[in-house]
Amino acid sequence: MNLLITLKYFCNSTHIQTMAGGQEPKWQKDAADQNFDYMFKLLIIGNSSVGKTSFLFRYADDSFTSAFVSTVGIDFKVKTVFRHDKRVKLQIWDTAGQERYRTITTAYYRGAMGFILMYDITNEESFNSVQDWVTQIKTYSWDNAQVILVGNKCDMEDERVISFERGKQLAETLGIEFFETSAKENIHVKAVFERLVDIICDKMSESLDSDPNLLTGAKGTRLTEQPQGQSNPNCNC
Amino acid sequence: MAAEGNEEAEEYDLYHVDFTTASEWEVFIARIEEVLQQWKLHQNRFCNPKEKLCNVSWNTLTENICFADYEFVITRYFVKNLEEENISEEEKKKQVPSTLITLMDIMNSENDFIPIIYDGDESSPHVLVRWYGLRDFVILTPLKGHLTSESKLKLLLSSFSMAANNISCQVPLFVRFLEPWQKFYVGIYEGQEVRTDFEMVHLKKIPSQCRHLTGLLSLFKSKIGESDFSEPIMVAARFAYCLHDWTNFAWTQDPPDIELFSGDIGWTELGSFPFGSVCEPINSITLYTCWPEVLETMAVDNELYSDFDPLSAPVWSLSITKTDNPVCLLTDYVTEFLLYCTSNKTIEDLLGDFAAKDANDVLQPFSLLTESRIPTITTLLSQYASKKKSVEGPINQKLLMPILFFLFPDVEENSKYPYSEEKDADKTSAQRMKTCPRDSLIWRLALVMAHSLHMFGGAKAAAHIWHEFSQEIRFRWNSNNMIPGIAPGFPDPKSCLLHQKLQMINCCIERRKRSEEAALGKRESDESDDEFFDCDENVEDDAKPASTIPIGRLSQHNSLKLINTGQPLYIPVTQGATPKTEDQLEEDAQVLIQLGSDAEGSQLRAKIMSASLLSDMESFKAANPGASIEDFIRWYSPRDWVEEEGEDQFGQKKGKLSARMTLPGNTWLEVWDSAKPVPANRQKRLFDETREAEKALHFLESQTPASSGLMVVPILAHAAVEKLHEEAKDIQIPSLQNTVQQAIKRVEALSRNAPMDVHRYQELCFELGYAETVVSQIKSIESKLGSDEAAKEFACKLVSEGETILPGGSTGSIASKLKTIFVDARKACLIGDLDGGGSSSGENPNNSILPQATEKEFILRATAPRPHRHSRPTPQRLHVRVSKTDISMAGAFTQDKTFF
Repeated sequence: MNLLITLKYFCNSTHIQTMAGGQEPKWQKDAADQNFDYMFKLLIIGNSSVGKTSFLFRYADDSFTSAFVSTVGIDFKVKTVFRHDKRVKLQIWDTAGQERYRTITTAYYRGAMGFILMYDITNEESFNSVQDWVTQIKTYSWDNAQVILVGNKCDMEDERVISFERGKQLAETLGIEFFETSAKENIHVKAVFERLVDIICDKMSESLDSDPNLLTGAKGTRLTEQPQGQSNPNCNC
Repeated sequence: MAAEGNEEAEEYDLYHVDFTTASEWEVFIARIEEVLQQWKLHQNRFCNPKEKLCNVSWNTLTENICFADYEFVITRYFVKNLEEENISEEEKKKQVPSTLITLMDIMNSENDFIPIIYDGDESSPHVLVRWYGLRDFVILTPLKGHLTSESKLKLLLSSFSMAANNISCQVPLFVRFLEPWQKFYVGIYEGQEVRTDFEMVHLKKIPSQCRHLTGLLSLFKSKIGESDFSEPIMVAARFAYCLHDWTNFAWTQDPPDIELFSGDIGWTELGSFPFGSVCEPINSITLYTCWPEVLETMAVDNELYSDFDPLSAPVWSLSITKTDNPVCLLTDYVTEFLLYCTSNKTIEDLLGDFAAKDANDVLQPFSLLTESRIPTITTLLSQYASKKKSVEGPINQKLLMPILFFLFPDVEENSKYPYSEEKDADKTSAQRMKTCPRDSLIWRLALVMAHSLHMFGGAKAAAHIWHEFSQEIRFRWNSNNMIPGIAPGFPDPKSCLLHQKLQMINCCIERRKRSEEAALGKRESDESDDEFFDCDENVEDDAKPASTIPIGRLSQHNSLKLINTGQPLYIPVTQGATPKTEDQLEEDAQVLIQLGSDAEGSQLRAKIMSASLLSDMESFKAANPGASIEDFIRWYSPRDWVEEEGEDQFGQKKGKLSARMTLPGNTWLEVWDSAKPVPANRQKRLFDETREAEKALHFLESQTPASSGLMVVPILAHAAVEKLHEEAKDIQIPSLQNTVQQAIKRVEALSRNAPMDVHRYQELCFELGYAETVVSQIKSIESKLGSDEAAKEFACKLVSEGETILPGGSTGSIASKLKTIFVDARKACLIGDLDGGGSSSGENPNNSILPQATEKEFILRATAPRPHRHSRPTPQRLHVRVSKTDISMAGAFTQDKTFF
């Protein structure tokens, strides 16, 4: 099904009125929002209800609700961070974990520079699926995409079934980094994203060092300075 | 105060009165001293005299210097020394003070005949290194023009002499005299109680006595003076034999020819690139026969007889001159293709009526290929008719058909070029390239287009191939024939866009085939033919569809029962996943992104994404009448079903929906409420194969010649580097291997770069050109001198390092091959002379294998007292180079400064 058609379909329905009613359409605002030096596309993946959406909301909005609506298909949030005086815009895609959504979500793996692969420390099955997810990443993503393994819900110590060591060991065998986090208690959430941004930057400068001619190799990265746009149109001083 | 002021003024005047009357000459000498001191040439240093000069790197220092208003450049050439700290104790013991090094170098035979590479009038290392074996020296050259006046030269040498004595300079100082090409250097060296004069002779007419060693020896002796030689003169000699004429041994690659393809043979050529340079990559080869150390008494060499028989010389070495930028086929193909990608001609410009006619003529000659093999009368007739009126394309029918059979081998019953069934046969470099599998349909297409461009008629032919190709793809869709040579399954995002589009069309053909089969099957079983069914799987068909009667069941779930009725839960037939190509995915993602990142956008996205959820829910409802959302969730998202203690009346564990599923107004509940029980085959289709196929076909057909080239260029580049890698893999030259790896990396990066930029492929062409040239040179040498291990290694050294000593010397296997080539060249030359009526003058009657030497070099050395027989014995050296056109002699004659 073509998404544009669907969008038009929905635009004809009542929903569009809320959008077109007040201000200009959203995408224009988004297009003007070019105030960044790099843009990284990141994906959060893992089994259903391991806490992907909560994790993202904690990071992007610093909020937590015990129950988010189960993600339908795919959604995303944007957050801009600073690293070495560079503005890095993170476009973080949140995916549905249900088996049935695999084909839809894997289509978005393309072009992702980093993955947060999440399991739930209170759920054995979600941990057992990690290997499957890694295979998915290998199949559908770019070769140089960076992955971090995250065991979420570490605040629920009473219900823990996956020990820290098991998580750590798995990460080591996969050759990736590992964190235990809690979106609820805000443990290591920021650290995961910062670390992921760091390893992507390292990888990037590595490949730039090896051949400066391949500078603009990765699509989606903006390695040239962006023009400063109309950064603050309200500021008339 | 005033008195003091006066005093100061007087002192000031006194101080500035210059009592010396410095002449310009004195200023000049002072400046030379200043420069030499700046370079620390007056200080004692230590050098290792054993360090060979052939493997060292050279440094230069330069200053400007004036004599009155005449400008000079003074340059110091010296061996780059290791850092002081890096020198081990052991090496320090080997070192000698720099006061001795110049004289030791003159007498050191280890540095004889150091290979130097000329670049115009310049060379590296400097010619003086070759002539005198020096490792540190200074040269004065006029900034503009050249010196010709003998008196000026004497003046400069005197200046040098004074400066060198004033500061006790420890390196020889030279002046460049005459024109640069003559390489005429005169110099002096002021050592401890000795002085060495470096003198030169350069003559166009060669005095007869100077052609041979005997004459040169007497010349050397008379120059040194009438003294007894305490030691005999040591001689080193080297003769050069140049070979330009390769006769039968030339190595060239013929470009594939259209003639090749007129018969049955040669079609495999279409599937690969030609490789190598079209002209001989080795311009000439020079053999050096060398006698490193011979006593003057041991060798006779005069006009009548010579002991220097090149065939028995102890050392043979070779050097080559390479052809400048030879045209190389592979590089040429790629370059030509890139040019095609930048043309702004339209398909109409190139094909004219032909393309226009094709567009509305279904029965194209080629389309017939995929027709049923048993022709009906109508097809035969129309074929005949169409042939009669057909306008010929740039590639004639006779040539075109085999090409198309090559691209679409499934048309022929026993094709010689079927696509291999093996998947992922090669996992080497192909994995990281975003192109297509090796030797698949578009791989062949890329090569065929490149070949067409090169020999079937240029841009027109390439455009014709693309046109026929897209026509055939259209025909495949129209006739429900799968496209061969394309990886099965959904569009693979790791392959290039063109490959994805073809995969997409194959997906569409497959879907339509299945749905047609299903429809056919249905018609056979049931006459009622009321509706078009999209769905493929065998539908459990009950004649009267109603909301209470289950339809569209796939299979029974192995444990779950419906909560409300206790009926087993059936997994419904659902609409399959939707294949998408990367440009479509990109479009979709853009749509999602444009909705913004706030909650509102998020909601709208969920709405868009819920299309497939709605479809699944409707199928579920149709298959499970009376089912509730709890049933659906237990199948669809089991983690959102929280089990509780106790069992219900059907023996299942009790439970409830998770908190997030029960949030009021959430998408899942909303969609469930709006879902009607409709089986998948009656739903609005999520994937419309006709529409998608048309889109993909339009994509192919709407490409301009340039853009179609751009589609193909990554594949072409992939095939090119693969070919290069294959050709270069056995050649152990690090710089070559680096270039190959770099080219592969570049293609990997370029293939993944979505907006194609042809200019970035230009750098690839440079790399290809360099590597292909080197490989051609190696292959050429191997074809001449053998290709066993030793010869291979030798060829690599010869190409990468220059002059190389022949393993096995004059008796080795390489030498014997070399002799054959020389003999052949000589024969050819004699025949030519006879034909031309010229006399076959036996210039070198003693030697029937090698031609006359193109250049002879001698180095004569002796330790002899100068200027008088009672002086101290000092080093004397003469370097002579006799070529066919001139002679140059460079001598270093040392004399005692204190005794006479």
